[in-house]
Amino acid sequence: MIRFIFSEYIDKMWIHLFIICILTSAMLAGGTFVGELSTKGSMYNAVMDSIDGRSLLLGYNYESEMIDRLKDYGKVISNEVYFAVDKSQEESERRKIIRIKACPDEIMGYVHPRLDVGEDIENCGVDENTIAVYISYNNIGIDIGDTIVLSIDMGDGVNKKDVKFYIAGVLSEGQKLYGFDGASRDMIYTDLFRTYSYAQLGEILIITTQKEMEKLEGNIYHEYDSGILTFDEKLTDTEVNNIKKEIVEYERERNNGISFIENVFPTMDNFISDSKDMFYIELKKYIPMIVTICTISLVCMVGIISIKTDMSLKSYTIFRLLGMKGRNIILCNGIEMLINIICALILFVSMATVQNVYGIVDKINLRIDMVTLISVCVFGVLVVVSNIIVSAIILRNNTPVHILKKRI
Amino acid sequence: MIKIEGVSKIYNLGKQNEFYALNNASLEIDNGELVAIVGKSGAGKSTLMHIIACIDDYEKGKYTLGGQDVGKLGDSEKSLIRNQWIGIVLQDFALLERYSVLENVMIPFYFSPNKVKRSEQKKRAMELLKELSMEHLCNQKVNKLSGGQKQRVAIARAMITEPKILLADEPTGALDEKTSEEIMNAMRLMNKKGVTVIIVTHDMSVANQCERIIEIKDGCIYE
Repeated sequence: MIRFIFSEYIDKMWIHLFIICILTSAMLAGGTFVGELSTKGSMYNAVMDSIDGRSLLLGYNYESEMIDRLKDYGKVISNEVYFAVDKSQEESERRKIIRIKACPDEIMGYVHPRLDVGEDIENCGVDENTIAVYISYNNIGIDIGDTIVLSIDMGDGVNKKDVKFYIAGVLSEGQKLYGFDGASRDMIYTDLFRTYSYAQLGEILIITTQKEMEKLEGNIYHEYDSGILTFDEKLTDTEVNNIKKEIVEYERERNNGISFIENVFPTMDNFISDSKDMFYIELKKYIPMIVTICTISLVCMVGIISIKTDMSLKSYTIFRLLGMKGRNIILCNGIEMLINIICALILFVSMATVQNVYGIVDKINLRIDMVTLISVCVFGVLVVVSNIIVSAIILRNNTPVHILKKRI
Repeated sequence: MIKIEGVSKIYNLGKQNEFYALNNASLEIDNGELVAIVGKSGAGKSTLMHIIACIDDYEKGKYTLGGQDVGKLGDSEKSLIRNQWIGIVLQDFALLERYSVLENVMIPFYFSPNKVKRSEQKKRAMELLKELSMEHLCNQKVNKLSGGQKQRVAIARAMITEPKILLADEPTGALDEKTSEEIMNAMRLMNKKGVTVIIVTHDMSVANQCERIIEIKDGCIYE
């Protein structure tokens, strides 16, 4: 049977190539859409899984001691911020301050920075003395694959520690990254992410994970910003209010009398309900696009299956006249389509990788994550199953002679 | 060998446009007969052939082939019957153009439950092609052959598993007179070997060469 499948497949190679191209296009369109939707969903889930009604958003300029103390009251997730200069330009008057942000793993697990070029920090396989990072576009000549030494400020403006960094990727411009300056009454989940652009801000940014920064030995000075404190359930409301007052005092002390949390949230319930409302409004906006993508996919499926069935059934029908079992014909047809799907999937992943590495088309969010892969695989399974069903229906409703007379 | 009792093939059963392609047809064909089934276009002769060949179902009646009630058989058993009991020849040959003559003739062996060595398959195919004066073209691609040659390849392929019945649906329909005569000779040759040959045709000159003529009109059988 394998011989027949192979022979049939080779014989109709051009048709199969055409089918593979259509399938790949449908996967690319669907993948881009799913990527877009998945980004919104990731941001929403990242925030909603990290807060509850009694959570508190913290501003910036927090010291380690304060964060450690807050950890006694509940769970704190926050960006770690290090300030550094390129070691080779340390003495230069034109040296630029580079901000290194170690994002909380809880957030990075959901919202991974989008790269124009590069690979995942986890996959670049650097040694224990080197920190793998992503860097923004910059004017100091640091690029992917570079290993650089940065002098990290130890907080007193005098002492510095040299740390080796490996550039695993270059951050895409205009993407949303976790970070906020403070809190306001009308905030929703998207406000916890800021659009970062080197071209607009002129600020060189390095991003890595807190897990990666744990490689650093000793206590290296850093600040915290964009924190979310979720109080321990055991704490009473009175205790929580006392802690809030304490935080307000701390912020005032650190920021020239300004507190970001003062008078903002009696509770986070408004934030949660507003975020939910906005997320569902956003989802509704996608309905026309979902309908369009589904229609295109359906048209693709119907077209492909029609072409495929029409082309393949003739030979298999001859085999049927000579004694091939009906279920084997259906199986052969299904296997041929499965081969097409696998080829299209490989092509899709390759094209998505090329797009991610070289950024050939601007502003295309084509992520190869689990959600996208599952969506594309589901599409593939639907095509194969539909093909099997259509073949079965045709074989059931037509004798082999009828099929041959229609097609010879 | 073939016993059809009150068989009806009904399209759109129970609907307003219900149509009897075969109406209460009864027929018996014995071993070694050379039979022609004749009738006008749409009379039901192809439907009868499809039922005999186990490639179509029927709604009423009983069809027994070699003592087996075909109506009770599943797809696998019917496929086996087509492979072992019945050789089928069609008007437009139904050959695989990209295969050689020899490869086309040997295809039924792939679906046979009796495993035959490749050398034996080849030997049997060459013998059949020799009987049909086609052995010199055994390595030729089918798309290079004339209509008559293609039909002889189709006959050889139909006979390769030594079936008891050779069913031919308008085997000379696409051929000229001289070539038709060659094909009828081939049919007679197979019949002389003891094979039951059933030829479905609308051409009376072909039918008259058979021992028995069965006529179908509006789905009913007349003899």
